[in-house]
Amino acid sequence: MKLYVYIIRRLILLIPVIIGVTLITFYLSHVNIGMLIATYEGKIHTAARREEVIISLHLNGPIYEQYLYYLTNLFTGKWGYLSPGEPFDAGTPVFVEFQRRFPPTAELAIIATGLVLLMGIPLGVLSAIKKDKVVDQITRLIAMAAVSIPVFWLGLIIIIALGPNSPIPVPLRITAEGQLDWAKYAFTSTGALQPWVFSASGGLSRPTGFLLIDTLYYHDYPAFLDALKHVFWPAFTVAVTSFGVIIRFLRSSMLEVLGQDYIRTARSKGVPESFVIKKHARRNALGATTTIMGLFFAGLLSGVVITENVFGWPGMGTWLFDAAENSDLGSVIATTFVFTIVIVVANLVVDILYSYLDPRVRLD
Amino acid sequence: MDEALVVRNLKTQFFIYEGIVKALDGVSFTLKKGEIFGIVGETGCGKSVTAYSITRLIPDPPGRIVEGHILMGNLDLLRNLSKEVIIVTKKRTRIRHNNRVIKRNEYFFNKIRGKYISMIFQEPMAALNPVYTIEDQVSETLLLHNRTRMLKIIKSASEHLEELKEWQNSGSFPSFSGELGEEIEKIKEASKSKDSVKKHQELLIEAASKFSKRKEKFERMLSKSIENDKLEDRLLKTSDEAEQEAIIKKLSKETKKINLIKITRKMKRRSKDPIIIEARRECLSLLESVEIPNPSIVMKSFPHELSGGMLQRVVISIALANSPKILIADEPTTALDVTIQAQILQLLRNLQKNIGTSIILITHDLAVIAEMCDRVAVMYAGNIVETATTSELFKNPKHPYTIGLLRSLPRIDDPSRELKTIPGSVPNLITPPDGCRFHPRCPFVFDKCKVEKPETIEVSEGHTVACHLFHGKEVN
Amino acid sequence: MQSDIRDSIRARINSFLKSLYFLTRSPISTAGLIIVIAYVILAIVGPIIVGGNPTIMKQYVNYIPGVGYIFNNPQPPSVRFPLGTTFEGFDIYNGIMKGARLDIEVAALVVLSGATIGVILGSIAGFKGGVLGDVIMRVTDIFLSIPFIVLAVAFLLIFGRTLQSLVEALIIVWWPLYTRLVRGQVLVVRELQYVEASKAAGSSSFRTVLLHVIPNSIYPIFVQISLDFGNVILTIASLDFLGFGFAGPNLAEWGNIIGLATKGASGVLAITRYPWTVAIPGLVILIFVLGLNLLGDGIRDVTDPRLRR
Repeated sequence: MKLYVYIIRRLILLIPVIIGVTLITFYLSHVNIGMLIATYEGKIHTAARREEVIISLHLNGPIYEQYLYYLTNLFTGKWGYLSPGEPFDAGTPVFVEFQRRFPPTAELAIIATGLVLLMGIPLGVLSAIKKDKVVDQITRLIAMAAVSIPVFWLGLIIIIALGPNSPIPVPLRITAEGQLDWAKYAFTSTGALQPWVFSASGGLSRPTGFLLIDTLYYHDYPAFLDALKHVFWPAFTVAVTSFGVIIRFLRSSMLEVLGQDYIRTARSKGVPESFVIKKHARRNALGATTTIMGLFFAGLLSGVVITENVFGWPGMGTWLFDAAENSDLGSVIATTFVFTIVIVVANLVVDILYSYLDPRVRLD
Repeated sequence: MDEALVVRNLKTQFFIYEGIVKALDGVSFTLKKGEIFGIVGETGCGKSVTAYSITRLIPDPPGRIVEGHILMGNLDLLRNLSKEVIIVTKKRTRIRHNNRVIKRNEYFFNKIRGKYISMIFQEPMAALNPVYTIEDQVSETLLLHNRTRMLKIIKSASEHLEELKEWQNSGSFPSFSGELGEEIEKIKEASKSKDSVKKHQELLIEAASKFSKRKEKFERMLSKSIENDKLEDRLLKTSDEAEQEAIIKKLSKETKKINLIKITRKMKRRSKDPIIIEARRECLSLLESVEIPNPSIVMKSFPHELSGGMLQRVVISIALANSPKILIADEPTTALDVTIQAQILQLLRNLQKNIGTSIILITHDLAVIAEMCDRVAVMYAGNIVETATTSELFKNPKHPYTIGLLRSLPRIDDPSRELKTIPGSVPNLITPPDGCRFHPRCPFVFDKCKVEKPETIEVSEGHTVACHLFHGKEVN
Repeated sequence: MQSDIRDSIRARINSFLKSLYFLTRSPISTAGLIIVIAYVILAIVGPIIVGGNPTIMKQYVNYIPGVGYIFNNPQPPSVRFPLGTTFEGFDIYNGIMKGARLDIEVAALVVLSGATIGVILGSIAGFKGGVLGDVIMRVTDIFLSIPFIVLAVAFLLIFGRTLQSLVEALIIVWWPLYTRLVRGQVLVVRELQYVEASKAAGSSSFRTVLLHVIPNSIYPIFVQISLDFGNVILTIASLDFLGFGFAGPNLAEWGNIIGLATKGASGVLAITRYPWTVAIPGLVILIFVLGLNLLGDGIRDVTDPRLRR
């Protein structure tokens, strides 16, 4: 079938999956009613307020009614408020905090993925071409070791290796008294990044929320380089623990492809070996790799969450754990939902990519 | 010289963990120009290995051609064989490769494969890359090897643009000299529908106009191509080894420089490059020549959308696209239905007559041999045991294995109900029997057979046998 | 009827022993096997050797004559403290010796439960297929879209930070993997001809599945179990490191030990002054997971039918 027909079909199939996800988050959020109410109360904790919340969430009604209102709230951004456990943010709507937290995580995840592909694909292909030779053995060992390293430990070791001036970013928020919350995060002073980080204290407004893009937008090149340094190490940590999977899968995929008849045909046509690999083999092998991409992303994002906490990167990972420690249900549910939707969408994109690369898939 | 290919004493071995598989033990035969030469034998006798050895598609590791000569014209394709490796044999065999020589030989063979020697294989359903269109894959071989002719056609077309446009309007076929003329003739004969002719016209004119736009660039390309062609011709004619070396060195440099970008990217639908347009047009011609219905639709399809018979036709068209001197067909019809089988064989025979390719047809099916081949070689366990013309082989088989093979064919006029087999089984090629490899199963075995490998003896005109029984009965 | 089941089992045991033999032929897989066995031994005897409460690390809160207060002053490895101490006065050696048991117990529980659920659901989805199969796979897909850590944290927050919640959370995270794996295998196996033969000979579906389909789908599961063991342990360690485990800071778990290293006044940066608090427990985790992965890879190589000699 044509490509766009396939795309439309996949988009339609997306709906039940999203519904399924909302069902899960609905269940999780409504198990503990007390926490749920606290989430929607915000700063005010009177009995009257409590009643308000119960009515607005229809908590006294039947389940399907609760679910309906849950969905409405979900898709209109009414995700509750940060719990008062966090001293300086109580009362901020969860959705607002989400907007603040999402770009750094996205930035980190994108750069990490880029690193993985950059390092992983060539190594995987190389390992297959030079099967059983020294290069192959070493690569497989590296991949094996990489998969066994605890993410947080790698981050810590990198920090140890880089010494006391390690590139751990400063938090992007300040307390109610205008002080930095030092105790929570380790840090280092970054002269160039000052105006970016302390935006509340007369700094610049952030158009996208992405450190790298924003610094370029303002042509602040020293800050850009500094930001690059700060992003790199966490991204590298995530990449190292994730790229082992890609290498091994690509290797086995490539080996399988190279054993196929059509490779033999290409060689018998006199196609030079380098083009046999680049044109004929690689595309088929990459196509097969897209089947594990979903799982790969799930693992990658888990790694991102942990790494953020190690490096103090102010994204959704640190948000998740801070919220969990403060019994902030709203934030935790929001994070779960967002992460899941991101992976679901990523799966969709990868599927479409696969059907573009391999026309046989479109027959479905 | 009326020999297309002379194979002498070809020895191919596979170095694996369990030992050395001596797959080919000194295979020799001659392929005459324009003939269809069959190689028949059971599974595992080495027929396919022979085919792969000739085109050097043996995977290394674990395989290697260790000895032999393959002569195409005056050129020995295995000239530098001994320089490629240093074999250190102890209990475990180790091979050290001389990479520079190997690389150069690789470049050299990439020129040979697809242009002078082509191959088609057994499973057409798996033979083509599933992610690229038919058009893409057929054009690939044209772009690799057939630039000169294509450029000449485009150039002619650009010079006769007016006449071509006239042709488009009026419908009467113009006649030209040279390659363009040949093409027009082909179109006249092959095109069954007006649509097809229109397509040819369109593409020719488009290619011609694009050519004129960057005239110098393509003229340069053309002259370069012609130069290379001349070198290749010289390579095959000369018998001076030093000259051969020099030409090969030069050609491998050229191969590196060839603008291969065109064949790497999936061909964009609206490519403006005249060579690609012309390649597309020739693809159309090729598909027509193998009698594929609706060639313009088939061109844009993917392999999984076509049937086995169609795919095999496509594979044949790819193999014959550059009018190779030699075509090696390895069990081309084994995976097809019987009716399709007949069609494909017929097609092969027709094409062979038209183009004049010499064919090596490998099969285990004696019926196919009888149907198609002029001459036949029988292989057993890595050796050719008998060679003769087809009728001679069937009427007067000499080698005990051949006799056994022919006798084991069930016949409808045979009253006895038992199937006659050859006792024993195919030998292990890591530890093959001493002397004649067939001796453990031979009903006529005597002492000499167990010790000494038989030489190939000519027992009558054009009929050779490798068996001690005929020692002393040569015809001179 | 009884005897052919017995024969079948005997054949499988033989096949298993043969695989074991082949496993030891590869040095890398053997190394993995040795490492895993070593850690299992550690789990059994470690707590016994160091004595005391097997789930709690030894803590020095008070003044130690000759050394001082070590509560906020991690000690490097010495004779007194073989692997050093970390913040809040915990003896690292003590923690390491006791840590294996907890990790292995929890991981075993999680992985085996997940595998069992996976086998059941996967077989149904693969063999019966139909609407039920589709629904199962959709649900599996949804769960696989939630990052492991996030789901675990959410679960622990909502259902309380107990050991039970932890195990349940991890099982929920892990069962989809097995379901998908088993289903894939079943899809392949059921097309194989001996399944057709079994049905043609009159076996009921249930018997077919039990005797033929499952045993032949099972090898990749062993591989996955070995690999997942490592992943579960990494997840537990990560949760404990971030302080989100199910008990207090004195829990004898390797991840927790590393987490303690960041509990000082200067937070994470403290580790640059006291690297052993991080490096040593981390290496212990690394080697174990590496061993499990090597073993898993070895099992895969040995049971891959394409590589069978």
